Amino acid sequence: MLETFSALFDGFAVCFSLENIFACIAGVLVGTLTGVLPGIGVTGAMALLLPLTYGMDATPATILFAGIYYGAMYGGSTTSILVNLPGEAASVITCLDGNAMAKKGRAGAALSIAAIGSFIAGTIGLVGLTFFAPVLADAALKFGPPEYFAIAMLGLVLLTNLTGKNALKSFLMVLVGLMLSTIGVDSVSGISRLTFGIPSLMRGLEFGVVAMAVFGINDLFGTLVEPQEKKEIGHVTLRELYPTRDEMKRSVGPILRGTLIGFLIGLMPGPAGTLASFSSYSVEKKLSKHPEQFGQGAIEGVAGPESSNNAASSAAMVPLLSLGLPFAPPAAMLLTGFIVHGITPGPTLITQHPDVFWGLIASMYIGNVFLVIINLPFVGVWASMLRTPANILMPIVMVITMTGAFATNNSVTDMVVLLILGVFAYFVAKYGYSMAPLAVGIVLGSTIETGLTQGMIICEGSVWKMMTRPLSGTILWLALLLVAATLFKPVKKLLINSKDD
Amino acid sequence: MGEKLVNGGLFLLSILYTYFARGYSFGSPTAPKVGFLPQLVGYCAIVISGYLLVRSLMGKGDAQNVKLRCDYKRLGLLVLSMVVYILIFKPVGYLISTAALLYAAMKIGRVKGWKIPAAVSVLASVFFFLVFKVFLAVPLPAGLLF
Repeated sequence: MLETFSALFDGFAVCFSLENIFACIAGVLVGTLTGVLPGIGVTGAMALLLPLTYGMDATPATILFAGIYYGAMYGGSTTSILVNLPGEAASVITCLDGNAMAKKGRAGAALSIAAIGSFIAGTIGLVGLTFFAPVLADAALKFGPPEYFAIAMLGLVLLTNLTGKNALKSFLMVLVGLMLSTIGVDSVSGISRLTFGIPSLMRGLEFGVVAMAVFGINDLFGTLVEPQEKKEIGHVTLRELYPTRDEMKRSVGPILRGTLIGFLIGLMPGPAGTLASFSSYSVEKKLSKHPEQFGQGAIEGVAGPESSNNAASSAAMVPLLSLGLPFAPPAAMLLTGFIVHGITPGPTLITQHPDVFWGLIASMYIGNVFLVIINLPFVGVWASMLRTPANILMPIVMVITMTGAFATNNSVTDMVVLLILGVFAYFVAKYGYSMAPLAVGIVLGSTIETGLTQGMIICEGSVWKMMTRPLSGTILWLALLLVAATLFKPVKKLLINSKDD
Repeated sequence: MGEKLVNGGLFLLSILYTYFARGYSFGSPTAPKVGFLPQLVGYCAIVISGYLLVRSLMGKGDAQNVKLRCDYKRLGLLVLSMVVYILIFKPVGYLISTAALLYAAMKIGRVKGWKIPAAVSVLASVFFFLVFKVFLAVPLPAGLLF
């Protein structure tokens, strides 16, 4: 315990350098902007900014990236409340009561409670991350390739069950992600795979470019070629920001419950922020003495979900920092940020790069304070950002994306990959295929391949041996049970339908 | 119709991927080789995409009622402008090609007049040129200008 506190204080010392503080402020500012502006997702924004961090050291670069991630969770609430337009998927549920409150002239109170709840949840979530990640990392030092393979498989199975409406479609996207991850030179044999003689494909597809395509270009097409609704943007003055005593009292429980729900869900793979906010809303509605007020402007419907999605973003860092396994696209983008700067997240991160690990965690505490400072007094400024015409903003974003793709390897091939995958993602996503499993599939591809091939060698080619190792076996059986349960649903439906016929 | 096309495309992609993956040695369970994972992934993808394709052909797809609100003409023009940008990026240079892409994208996005799009195109291109070329030392192509 004392060691953790001591290390955390060292982290604060690292974080208080001018460069790192600047990175933290820049990160939360860009993150808030990302959350406010619809059409630029958090992963897309992180991918866009990746080339800008090339000249930076590892610590400020990762601080900047993390700032974008949790800043976006904050910013999403502003547009949900003021315009009924969620900047982030995790803020969709906030529209229901947040915008209803705005229509009643209580927008300021809703924004304040969202910011206070996000701050409390984000900070409590960080305390969880501070103490939980080192323990998990310590345990993970004993893991071998079969264990890593098993954890990655369980993560992907959970992800496919939690993402989108159709688990099979999500699983197919994981497979497409794995297909893309096999392009390039195989790290074990040195054989070039599926490159079709194109030299620039030998190094494989860059995750940053893929993320820009499936989250950036995809959203950009949607904004530019689909009809957009015009929204009225409300005005909020500083005086209106104070919640009443009753509103404060009613928010305490939802904030604390939302934090717990968010942290637990955040540990699981998948769209944790969105799941956490929806779960928190449903819990608050069930526990409320006035469930009929939900949807009509209940403060609990803002406090719970907004706290929940912020706690989830802290918890999503746990598997990334301690195991090196990202189970959500923004975490995968953070992993890319680490790798670009020569750092491999995982169990050895704390011992080999304590400055980066603890500096990052300390920066998140500081970033949470900055978020309250820049969100509440300047809420009017953030809202006015929405007045920027999308048909001018989006072409600019498109140019940054194309330039960013080129800058990744100074290669035009990456621009071609960006365009092809962007068009692919635009059409495929319209028909119920989620892009998150594809992104996570690409990132986990090499872990799965190494874990599977080395695991098979260790287990002398016997799948049964792998399934009976204490840890990898337990995890794999759990994954198998989940797959069976998923497959059982359509079979059960088929049986019921045939009985009805 | 759209779902059938998308599912059909994914099925075709799975078959093509597996065909090419079969060109690499699978090895054996005791000594997996370079084609081990790609082939396993390919076979799984064929089964799942095939199942989804059959369901959508039978009219049981879960997205059969989805209707795209997309303006295909504008989408086509946008993609075309990006293709042209990639083609002229090196020979013409960053500044001119980027300004042209920005202007084209803004007109495709129905920005009225020519003064604002032209001004934004030139200023944004110069700004990004300075950021990437000067501050980040990215070797952006100079092309015709320098």
